[in-house]
Amino acid sequence: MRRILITALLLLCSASGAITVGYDIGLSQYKETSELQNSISLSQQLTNRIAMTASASFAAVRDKNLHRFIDSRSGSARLSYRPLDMVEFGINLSRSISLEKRYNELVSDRLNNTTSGQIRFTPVPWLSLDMNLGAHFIDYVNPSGDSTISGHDEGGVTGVDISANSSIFPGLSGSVQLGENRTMGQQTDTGRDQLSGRLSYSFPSIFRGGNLQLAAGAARQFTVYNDSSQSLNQDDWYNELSVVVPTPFEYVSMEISTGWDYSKRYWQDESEEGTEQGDIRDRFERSRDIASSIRYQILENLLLNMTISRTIARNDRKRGATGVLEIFDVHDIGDDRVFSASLQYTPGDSRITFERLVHLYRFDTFGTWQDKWGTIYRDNSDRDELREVLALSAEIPVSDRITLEGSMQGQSRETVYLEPEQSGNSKTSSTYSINPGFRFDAGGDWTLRESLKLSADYTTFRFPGHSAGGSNLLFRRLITSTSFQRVAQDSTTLGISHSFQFQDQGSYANSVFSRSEEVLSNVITLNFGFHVGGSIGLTPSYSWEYSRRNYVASELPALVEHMHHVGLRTRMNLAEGVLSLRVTRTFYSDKNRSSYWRATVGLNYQF
Amino acid sequence: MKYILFAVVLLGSIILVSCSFFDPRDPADPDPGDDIPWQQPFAPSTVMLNLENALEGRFIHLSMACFDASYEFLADPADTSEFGGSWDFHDWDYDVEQNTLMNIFAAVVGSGYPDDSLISVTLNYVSEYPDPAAPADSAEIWRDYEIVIAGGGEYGGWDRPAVGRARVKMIEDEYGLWSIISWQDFRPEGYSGENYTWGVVKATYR
Repeated sequence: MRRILITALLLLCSASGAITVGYDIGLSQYKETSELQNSISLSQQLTNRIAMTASASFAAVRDKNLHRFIDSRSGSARLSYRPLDMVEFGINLSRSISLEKRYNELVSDRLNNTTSGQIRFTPVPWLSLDMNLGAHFIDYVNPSGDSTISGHDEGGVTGVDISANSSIFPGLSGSVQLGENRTMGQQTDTGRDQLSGRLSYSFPSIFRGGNLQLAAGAARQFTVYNDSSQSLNQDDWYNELSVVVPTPFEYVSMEISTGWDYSKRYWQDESEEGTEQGDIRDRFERSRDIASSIRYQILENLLLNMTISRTIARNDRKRGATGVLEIFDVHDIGDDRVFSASLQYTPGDSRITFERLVHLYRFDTFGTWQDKWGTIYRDNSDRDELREVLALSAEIPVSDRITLEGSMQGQSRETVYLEPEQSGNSKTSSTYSINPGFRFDAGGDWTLRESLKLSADYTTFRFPGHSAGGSNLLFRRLITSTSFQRVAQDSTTLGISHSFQFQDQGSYANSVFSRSEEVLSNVITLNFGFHVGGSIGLTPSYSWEYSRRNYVASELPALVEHMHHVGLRTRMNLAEGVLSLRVTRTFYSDKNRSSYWRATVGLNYQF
Repeated sequence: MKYILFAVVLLGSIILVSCSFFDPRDPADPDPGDDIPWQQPFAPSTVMLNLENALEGRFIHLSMACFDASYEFLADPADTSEFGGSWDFHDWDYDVEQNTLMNIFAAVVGSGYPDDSLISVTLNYVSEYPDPAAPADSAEIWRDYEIVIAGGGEYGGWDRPAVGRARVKMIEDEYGLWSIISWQDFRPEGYSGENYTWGVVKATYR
């Protein structure tokens, strides 16, 4: 079916005039999972007034271990006719099929067809009106135990979208979008209405760059289940206002923004009129935010950025309890406060950046619920989370060939659980890292890179006697990576690279570090890239990987992996397309473990 | 003028950061005897151990600390097909998982079982899929599980615990801490329908 469709499309293309065809194919395999993706798209201007577009795709996933196969296909076509410049008529067809099997047995099969006609009316350049009317058909099969549930649904599809975008007077412009869309059926009716608007005002030139943006919108969507008395509704409202303040001083710019969101999702049951307690799945989310940022060019090569923001969000939910019909109202409030600043110094080709971040998140819960035995429950996850970062990074060329790279960072993450049931887990983690390195341009596209990263994470508990984690914890990590390689523009690589990682962890108390685990990992990779002709790059590669996890504080045996990766990757630039291939075969030294493939093939072509 | 402005901005930011606007509050003194074993999740296997302990101890925030905010639970397609008419398996994200676990924790308290027998979680290594020794950035690990929800009856009760296999995908954050981004649930080999999977048992509390 797919081949017939593709062939027919290609034949149709070749028989006509100006045409654009794109084709993508991708094949990948990792261990026991293989995936195939295939898509074609076509567009053609048949005459000055008639145009056609079509696309089709096919995707399949097979997992041998899980005995699962997923097949999904979709296709769409559109024919449009423009009798006048301001009017366009169109016919849209779309079809999708999805199928899933396990153990060679069908677990789901779904077919969806939609056909619609469309009128697009653009009486003036700033106003457009889209109307569509059509029908959809759905068939599905869901085996359920010993029986099979199959069904069919069909109904009308309608939609109206109006958009206007205009400059009202010099400096002030605005846009409005209005939409109403419905999909009716025998089982469900769904719909969405939305209205949104945006205003933009640029202050007169004497106010030096100031402007104001205002946006607001509302949407309502619903799903009515015709085979029951239930319907799902959602109302959304939002507002955003941002002001770029007219430059108060030379080299300084400042922006202030604020907004709010409101989203209410609720279920209605016509058979339970008069009951006000709602449904357990109902939710009501509100948030408001305010932010301010300053950008200050202190010197020609010294730039300061600072941002401070606060967001407060309230989530209202419903909660049920065992043995009672009553539904309880609970809510939580999250308060997010962020301050960030960066100072960037760029003398010559060097770059030195200093960063500071303070982020506090407060979370409070409210409300209780009670079961039939009278036990009262409440959420006790009230907490404060504070994160502070101080970082310095630099990239300094010391000569034409050598560039020094490095960073230093200190972080503190404090988590405070406020309620007595949880407060024993309150803790502070401090992380310190230093990451020096360099890059040496050896000429002839050869580059030597070396980097080292040392980090330590120390976790202390607020109430050591009560902490479930026992004593304070220390986690250390060292990573080195070295490479001497020549990488061509098409990623063809020749050279050697090596990475080594060591990490350990354990309790740290009274200046005694009692290690519980350590991990070692070592990878050496050889790339033998070369070019065949001017446009084909081939990179055969070999990697040796050794990793080991030792449980030094227990009798557990160490986890050891000893692997060899043999690979080939290539990238060919064809006339109007690109063919890429990457294949790796991995072998374990342990004969009890089976080797596996990792492969991806991709072709993208524009005819 | 320029340097005065810079000094004002710098001073303002120092005052802002040092004021109480960014101070965390003080916690209440902890309740005695409410602890569970918990370790910083510096390895994927530690996350699974923490999850076992947090579920058995009925600690919702410690349970959820094992999951990343992008977490999703994927039930066995055979379960969604067979039980999809009775229970909702769709869009099972972090929030749904949290609500479901809170419902389970609340429900078992009323079951009448002793406190130490309300929830039992056993996660066993799968010999065909050993844990990776030193994963970087992401990891995929497998566990065969048996989970008991006291009072669950045929849905995970002591006589009919939830049994199945999980393919758990995890990611490592910038601090070297691991968390679960997806739990793909599967019926066990030789599934007879006598014991349901964790996905089916959980769905009854959603």
